[in-house]
Amino acid sequence: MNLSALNRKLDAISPGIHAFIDDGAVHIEGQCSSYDDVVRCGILAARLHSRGVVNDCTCADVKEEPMRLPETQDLSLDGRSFDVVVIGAGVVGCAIAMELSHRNLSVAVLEKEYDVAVRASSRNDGMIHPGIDLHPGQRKTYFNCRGNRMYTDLSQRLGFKFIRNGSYVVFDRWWNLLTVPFFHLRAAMCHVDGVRYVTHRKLGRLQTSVASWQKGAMFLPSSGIVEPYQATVAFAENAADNKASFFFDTAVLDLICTDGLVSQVITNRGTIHALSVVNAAGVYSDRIAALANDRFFTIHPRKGTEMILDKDAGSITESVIAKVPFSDVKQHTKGGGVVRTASGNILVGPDAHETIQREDDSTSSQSITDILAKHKATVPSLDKRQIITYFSGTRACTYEEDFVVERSTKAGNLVHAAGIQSPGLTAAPAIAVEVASDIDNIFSDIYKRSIKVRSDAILTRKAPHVVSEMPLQQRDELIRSNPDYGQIVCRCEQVSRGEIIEVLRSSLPVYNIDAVKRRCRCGMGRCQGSFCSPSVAGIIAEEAHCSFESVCKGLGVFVKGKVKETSR
Amino acid sequence: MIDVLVIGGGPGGLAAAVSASKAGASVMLLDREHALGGILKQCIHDGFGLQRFHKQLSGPSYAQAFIDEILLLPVDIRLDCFVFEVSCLEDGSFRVLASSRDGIIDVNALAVVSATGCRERTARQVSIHGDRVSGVFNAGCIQNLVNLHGYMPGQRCAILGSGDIGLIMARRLTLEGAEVVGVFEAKKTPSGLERNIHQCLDDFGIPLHLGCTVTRTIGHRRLEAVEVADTDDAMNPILSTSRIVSVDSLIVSVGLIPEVELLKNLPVKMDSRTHGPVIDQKGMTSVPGLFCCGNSSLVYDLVDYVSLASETAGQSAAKWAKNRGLARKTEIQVHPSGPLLFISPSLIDMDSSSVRFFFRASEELEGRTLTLCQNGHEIFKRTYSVLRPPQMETFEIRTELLDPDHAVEASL
Amino acid sequence: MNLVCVNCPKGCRLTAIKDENGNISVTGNSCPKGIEFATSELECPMRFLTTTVALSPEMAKRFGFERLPVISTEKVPRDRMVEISLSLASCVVSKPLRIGETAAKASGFIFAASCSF
Repeated sequence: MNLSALNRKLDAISPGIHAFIDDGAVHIEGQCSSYDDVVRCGILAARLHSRGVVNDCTCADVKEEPMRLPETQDLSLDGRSFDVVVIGAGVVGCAIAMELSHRNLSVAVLEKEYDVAVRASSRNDGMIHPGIDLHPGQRKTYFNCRGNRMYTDLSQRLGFKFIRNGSYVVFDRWWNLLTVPFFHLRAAMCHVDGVRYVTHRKLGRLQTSVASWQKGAMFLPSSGIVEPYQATVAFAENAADNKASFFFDTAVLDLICTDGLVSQVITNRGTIHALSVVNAAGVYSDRIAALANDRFFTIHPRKGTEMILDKDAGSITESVIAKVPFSDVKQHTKGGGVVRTASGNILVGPDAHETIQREDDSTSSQSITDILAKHKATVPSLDKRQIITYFSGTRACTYEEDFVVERSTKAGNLVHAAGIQSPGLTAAPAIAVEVASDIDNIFSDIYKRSIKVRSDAILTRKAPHVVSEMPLQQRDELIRSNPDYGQIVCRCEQVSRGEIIEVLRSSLPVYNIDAVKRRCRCGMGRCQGSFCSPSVAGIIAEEAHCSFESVCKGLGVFVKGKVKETSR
Repeated sequence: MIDVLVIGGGPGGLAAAVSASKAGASVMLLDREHALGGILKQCIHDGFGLQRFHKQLSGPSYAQAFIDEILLLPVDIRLDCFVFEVSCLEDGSFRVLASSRDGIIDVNALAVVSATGCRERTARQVSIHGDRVSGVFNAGCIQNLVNLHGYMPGQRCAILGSGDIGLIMARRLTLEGAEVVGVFEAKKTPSGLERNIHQCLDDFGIPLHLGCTVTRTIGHRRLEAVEVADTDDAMNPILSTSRIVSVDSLIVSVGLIPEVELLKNLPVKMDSRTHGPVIDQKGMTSVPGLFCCGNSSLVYDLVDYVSLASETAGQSAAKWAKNRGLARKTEIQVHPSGPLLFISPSLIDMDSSSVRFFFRASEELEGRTLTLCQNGHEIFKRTYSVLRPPQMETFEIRTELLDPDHAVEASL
Repeated sequence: MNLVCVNCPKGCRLTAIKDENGNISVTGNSCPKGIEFATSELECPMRFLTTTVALSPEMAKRFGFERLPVISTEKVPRDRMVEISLSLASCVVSKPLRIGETAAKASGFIFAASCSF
């Protein structure tokens, strides 16, 4: 398709929409009647295969809510300076910070939320993808397959759980068998190791919960699973161990450029001087690019909802069961699946819906119903009553549906690690290696500094204790050395007081009930924190030397007011 | 080797441990909290003990009676002690593993009484959607925060669920200075005791909205409002009736579920009506020597009945420990029919002089008769002028009336 | 007014009516306590007040919790319950108590400890 064909098609959607090329990227402008039409225009523009799509179309039906900013406003970071400022503490930002922190560089990570992995990085199924459903030519494929291989070593060195259990892509129609050679071809092109076909009889023996009408499957042994927030925390803590600074509740409001370089980062906590900047800002990564006058892509958020089922439903599958991706027409709309997480829960989903709201984490009963219905066909034993909880996240998608990992052409010291959606978790370590190499080049080209990995870089991280998984003898010895490990606070997940204190005394402690929950599973079980939250809040108040009333659960304060304080 | 090991130091465990000890057994009691009393520690309202002590006691006072008694008996009490595994040994005894501040506790017992209480259904299990904000609490959790620690959920509260805990918290929050804008109940009839509707809602002018549920939470960081909607007969929200109610806290009280996690790895038969294990009138499960009592066997509404049933379980456990290896001589099944939510026990052990039954009707009924029949012969009959699901009923019959060869048909 | 008597487990269903002269007649009771109860419910309902009072930091450490459950030693007027409960805001218990001992006084009412610590 060429530019004039695009303009004709755009005009058909909404009169007055027009496209033009600027600096290699397609820009589209005009008024649409609905946000869905805005997205359709963007998708069309992507077919030009230009550098990127800048979608400035507006719509009449919905309005984008302003970015949720931290409540703090001070000058606590004013005047600080760093070699590298990483914007965003998702899994990508933390992996990059970790990689950079091993070098002779001062690193700061700015995150507008209260913890690492608050948004998409903790709201996914934790799959380390084999990459079979990716296009051979895409950047995400390149990073996915390299990242996939890195997880074995990373998980061992950094002490987080990674299970490489393989996954099944189940065929539901006999004609799907014709795609088997195509799978093998794709596997070769994308560097996916060990792919093989499993007959329907063998599948029935291996996976008893799969529906009787299944027609066989492709087994992908390189597929694995992690707890995504724990992997992110591991990267972040290793970065902190190597002296990287993390600043939470810190939002980037503006970037000041001087002589083609970003020189200052304006935040709600003052102005920070930066020799280089990494844009890992997720759903807002196009906004950060715009602040540096380097807007050549647009994020159109795509919301996904997942549900967590009771561990008892865990007999359903040892490996991931996903529907054949090729029977879904759009390859970027994930088929979703039924996944057994690294902690033993069953995760079902996700779905995908375009949304204008970048931070929409609300759920709806309709999406729960739809997701269950979709996967019940493959795994008939799925039941609504097994649901423990559900959550939503927004994917940071560009219209090209690919990652933007490259140096900026407008600001010489800016590197983008933007538009990261699935398989972002898998790709993160490989993206980090590439971005670190870009930073190395920036420092040698611009600042004439030679950057190398320090000989005293800390490359390992001790896995936190998990008493419920320890052998009895070892557990007993640990308790005798520290009685707090014998006192169970979270009875659903069997988490001890010692483990809670341990995460609050880590190299990157976050004094928030949900942060503690993400790190040591306290509050993730059947009762969803009903029994343990008061105790956890009390421990946080002790460790943080703050009042009980100031302790937060997620975005807001836990309790509000004392007894007998007010009268109607 | 301990004769009877009791898991749980709430009303169920306390009554069982006291009666087992009085019956001459060596008893060990393990509780995961820092003090005995279980859930009663936070149930500071009165109304406990009307049946048993003919007094109106608060929860802690009711528990104190048992605590004072157990401290005078040679029961080995371990606190801050969490049992994480119970397994059967080849000789029929049990191995119990627990985590405590002193180390791992690894003990063998001839009989085990599981009195682990129950937990609450959560907001997500009743499909509350919307924004992920703080300010949403389960009733038990906020009861703990308000009564034991002195913190409020907010100053303008909505309560979902008219079960007893929700009603009690409506009153508690009002007495501590908050405004309770209303109690919302998805069913068309209230779930709690009538007494509580009067003394918790009517007394304070708190409106009860029947046939209405909370569908969504709204807010940026903390709760700012909830969306409510009327429900149809299947308790599903009718979206066209949605409206917004401005509140800063939501208390969710939507049902109790027996906590039976410890029994999962044992060959315990479960009762799909009570959601606890299948037990006989002595509280013994399908695993010989393993007893279950209190809210972890079935959800009670009067703690007085918990004490009654748990005492029986404790005595039976002590007897079991003494006369080991004697399986049930004869057991008869109990088959419920009619609008019975459940009737317990579902098994009768003939080797006992009496059977105490507990049952709940599944809907509001008037002038119905509960009949026990065997092989067409009527053994017991009682007519109730009013039956309501929240109000559990009880009666006792002598085992000598029963025919060991036929099942008991219990019909309402 | 229809009400359920709470004096004993029987739970008689009472009906209390007040006529133009202010005379109250009660039906449905099985004993005189029922008449007493229904009359007072109609005129001036009384209730036991259960609430909590603050413990001093040392006592909170001893008890394990920051609040001590208490119960009024006599029934209080229902319509003053919130006011009386809030008036306990400044009370602090700073010595160990046994169940039944006086923990606090407010608005002319005595509150006893619901448990020992």
